[in-house]
Amino acid sequence: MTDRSAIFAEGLTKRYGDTTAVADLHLAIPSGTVYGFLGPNGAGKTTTMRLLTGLTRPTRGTGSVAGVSITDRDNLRTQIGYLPEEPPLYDQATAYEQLEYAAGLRDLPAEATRDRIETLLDELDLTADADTRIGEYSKGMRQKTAYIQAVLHEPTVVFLDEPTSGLDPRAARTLREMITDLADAGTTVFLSTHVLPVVEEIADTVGILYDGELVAEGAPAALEHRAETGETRSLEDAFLELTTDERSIGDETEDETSPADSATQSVAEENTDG
Amino acid sequence: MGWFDYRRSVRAIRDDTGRLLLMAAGVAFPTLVIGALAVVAAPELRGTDPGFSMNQVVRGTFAMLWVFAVFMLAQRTTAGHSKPVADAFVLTTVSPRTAVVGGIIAETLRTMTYALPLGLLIASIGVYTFGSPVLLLAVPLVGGLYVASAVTTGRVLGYSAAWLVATVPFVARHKGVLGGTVVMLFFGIYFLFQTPQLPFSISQATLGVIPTGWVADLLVIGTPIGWSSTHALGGVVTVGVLLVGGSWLAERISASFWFDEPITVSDTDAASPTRIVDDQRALERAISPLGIPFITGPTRHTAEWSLLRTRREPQRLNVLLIPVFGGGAALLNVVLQGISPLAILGPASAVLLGWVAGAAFGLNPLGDEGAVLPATLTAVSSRAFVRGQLVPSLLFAPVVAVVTLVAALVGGYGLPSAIALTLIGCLLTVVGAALAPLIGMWLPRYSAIRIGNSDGVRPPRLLAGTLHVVLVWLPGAALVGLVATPELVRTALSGIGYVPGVVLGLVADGGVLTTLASSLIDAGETIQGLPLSAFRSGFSMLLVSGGLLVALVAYRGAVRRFEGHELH
Repeated sequence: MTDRSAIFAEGLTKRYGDTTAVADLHLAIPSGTVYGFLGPNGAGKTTTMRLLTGLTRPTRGTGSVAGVSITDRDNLRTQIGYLPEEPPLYDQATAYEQLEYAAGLRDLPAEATRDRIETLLDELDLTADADTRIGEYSKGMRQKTAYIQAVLHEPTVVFLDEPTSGLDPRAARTLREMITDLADAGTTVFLSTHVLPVVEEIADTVGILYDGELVAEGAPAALEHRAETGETRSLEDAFLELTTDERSIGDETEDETSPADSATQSVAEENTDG
Repeated sequence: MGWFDYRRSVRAIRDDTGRLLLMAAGVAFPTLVIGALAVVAAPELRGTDPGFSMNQVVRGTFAMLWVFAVFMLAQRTTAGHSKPVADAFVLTTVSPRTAVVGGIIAETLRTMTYALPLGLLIASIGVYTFGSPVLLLAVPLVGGLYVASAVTTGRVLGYSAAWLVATVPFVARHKGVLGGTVVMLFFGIYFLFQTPQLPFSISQATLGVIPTGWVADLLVIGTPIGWSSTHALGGVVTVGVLLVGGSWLAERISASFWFDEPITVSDTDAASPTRIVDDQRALERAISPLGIPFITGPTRHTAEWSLLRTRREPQRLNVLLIPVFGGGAALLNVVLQGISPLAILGPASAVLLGWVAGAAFGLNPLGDEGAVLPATLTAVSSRAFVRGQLVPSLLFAPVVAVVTLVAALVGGYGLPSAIALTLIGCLLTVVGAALAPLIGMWLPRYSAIRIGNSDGVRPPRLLAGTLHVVLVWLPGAALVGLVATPELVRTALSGIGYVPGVVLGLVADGGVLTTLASSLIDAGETIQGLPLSAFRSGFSMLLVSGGLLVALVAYRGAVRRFEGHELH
C-alpha cells in the first residue's frame, strides 16, 4: 500500500519525555472503509488520532490523510472531521447555533448547510431540541450533536472516538447505520471504540494498539481466527489475548507464534488468498 | 477531608509557577513593608511603656479588615467553591455537615498559610519589642479565630449567593449585573472607610461596634498596651457563635443548594427559535442588535460567537473589575493630591476604556474553547481565529472614542487635546485587542471556575491579566500624560535614568559601575533638558509607532501560536 491510502502512516512515533505514547506505527487504510481502532485504556489511541488529525506533531515518522501531510494542518482541515471522546460543544449555544457556527468556521455555503443541518438533525431525532442550549442536553444528545458537527462538511476522512458513548440502543443503531452509509459513500471512517460488537458489525479492518504498538491488524473475522489451532474465538477473546502482558504465554507453552503474529499472519494469508 | 482538600490545593498552586510567584509577591510585599517599619521603630519602642490602650479605632480597623476578608472569601465561595470538589463522590460518601466543615477547615488552612509569614513577623516583633512570649501563643490563636470566623461567615454568604442564583430566576438571569453591582457597592463603601482624606469618609472607629474586631484586645495580653477584658471576651464569644452558628447555617443553605436541581434560565426556547428567520443566521440573530459589519467568512463567525458567549455569560467579564478598581483607587489618589476630578476623566477614559475593550474578549482564547478546542483547531485557520478574537474588541473602539472625547471636553481640554486623547483611546483598544490573544495563548487557563450554576466560565489567568494591564496601562499612561501634563512625563522619564544612577553612584567605588552611574545620570539630565515640544512630539511618535509595531508583532505571534498549538 502507498500513501495513496486515505490514511497512511510510516513509522509514526510520539514520545513525551521518556514515555513513548505511540511507537513506530504503520498504517495504510484504503478509502471508503471503516477502520476499527481498538486498544486498552492508555494504549495510545487518542494520541494516534491526534497525530493523524494534526493536533499533535509526531516525534518521528510521517503520515498523510487524504493525501495531505499530517503536519500541514491548514490543508488537513478541509479533509477531515473529528469527534473526540468528549463532545466538543459549547454549553452556552443551542445545537443549531453550534452547527451553524461549525459550518461557518469552514466557510460552507449557507443555503446548502441549512438543508444539511436540518436533515442530520432529523435523522438523529434532534430537531425538536435544536433550539435548546447544549448545556441542558443529555449525554446522548450531546454525542449526536457532536457527531453531526464532525460530518457536517462531508469530510473525506472522519475520525470518531467512542461515537456511540451515551447513546440509547435506538440512537446507537441509527448512528452505526449512518457510519456505514458514510463509508458506502466513499468516506473513510477511523473508529476508535471499546464497544467490540460495534467494531465487529461495521469495521472492514481492525487494528489493535497495545502499549503504543500496533500488535494486530486485519479483518474482524481474521482476528477471530486462531491460525495456530484453527479455532474460532470472539473478537473480545482475541482482544484480551493480544492486550495482556502475558502475550509471551505462548513461549512458555512452547508455542512460538505470538497471538499478534498469528493475527497478522492470518490477515496476510487472507490477503494472499484474496 | 479538610486536610486532604488543603493538600490538593497546595499541590495545585505549587504546580502553577506564575500563580505561586504572584501569591509570593502578595505575601512578601506587606511582610517587607512591616519588617522595614519594625527595623526602624521596634528598637526605639523596646522596653518602653507606649502609654497606649486598645480603642475603637484599632478595633474598627480590625473589624474593617475582617469584613473585607469575609467579602473576598464569600466571592471565592461563590466563584470556585460553591460545591465540593468531586461533589458526586463527596455527597454520596459523607454528610453535608462533614463536607461543609471540611471546606471551612481547608479554606482556613489556605488563608492561614497565606498569612503565615506576616503572622510570624508580627509575633516576632511583638516578642522583641515588649519582651512578652505570650504573643507567640496569642498571635496564632487570635489569627486562627479571626480567619476561621471570616471563612465561616464568607461561606454562609457565598453559599447564599450561589443558592439565590440556583433558585431565583431573576437572580439567575441577571447574575452578572447583580454581581457587578454588589462588588462596586462594597468597594465604594469600603473606600469611604479606608480613605479618611475624603470629605464624606467615615471613621473606622464606627466599625468598632463589630465584635469580631474586639479579638484585637486578646493580641496585646502580656504587653504594656492596655486592653479590655470585656471586649476580649465579647470577641471570643462572637467568634464562637459565628463558628458554630455559621457552620450550621452554611450546612442548611448548601444542602438545599447541593441536592436540589438548579433552575434553568435560557433566553432561547421553542417559542423563539434560533434558526433562520428572514434569511438571518442563528448566530446573527442571537447577537442582535449587535452585529459584525464588513467582515465575512470564518472570522465573522468566530467574532459572532465570541460576542454571544460573552453576552450569555457576562460573569466572565467580572475579572476586569479588579484592574478597574485598582485604576479607580489610583485615580482617587490623584484627586486627593488636589487635581480636579474632571481633568482626569478624559485621560482615564482613554486608558481604562481602551484597555477594557481590548481585554474583554480575547484574553483566554484557547481556554475559552474548553472541550471544543480540538474541533476548533481542526476547523478554522489560525488567521481567521485570531482575527475573530480581535474583531469584537475593535467593535467597541467607536464607544471608547465617543466617551473619551466627551469626557475630555467636559474635563476642560481644548479640541486638539480632546481629539489626541480620543485617538489614544482607540490606539490602546487596538494594541490591547492585538496583545490579548497572544498573552492568553501564552498563559491560558483551561480549568473552569464555577459561578452560580455555570460550570464553564474560564476567566483569564491572573498573570495574563496582570501582564496585559502592565503592557497597556504603562505606555497608555505615558501617552495621555504627554497630552495632559508633558512636564510630569518628562520628569518621570528622566527619573528612570537619574534615580538608579544616583543610587548606583552611592554604592559604586570607581570602575565600570561609576561610569554606568554617571551615564545614567547624564541620560536623565539630557531627557530633563530636552525642549518640551520636542520631547512631547518625539516621545509620542515613539510610543505610537512602538504600540502599532507591538500590535502587529502580537497578532502575528498569536497566529503562529494557534498554528503550532498541540494537544497533549
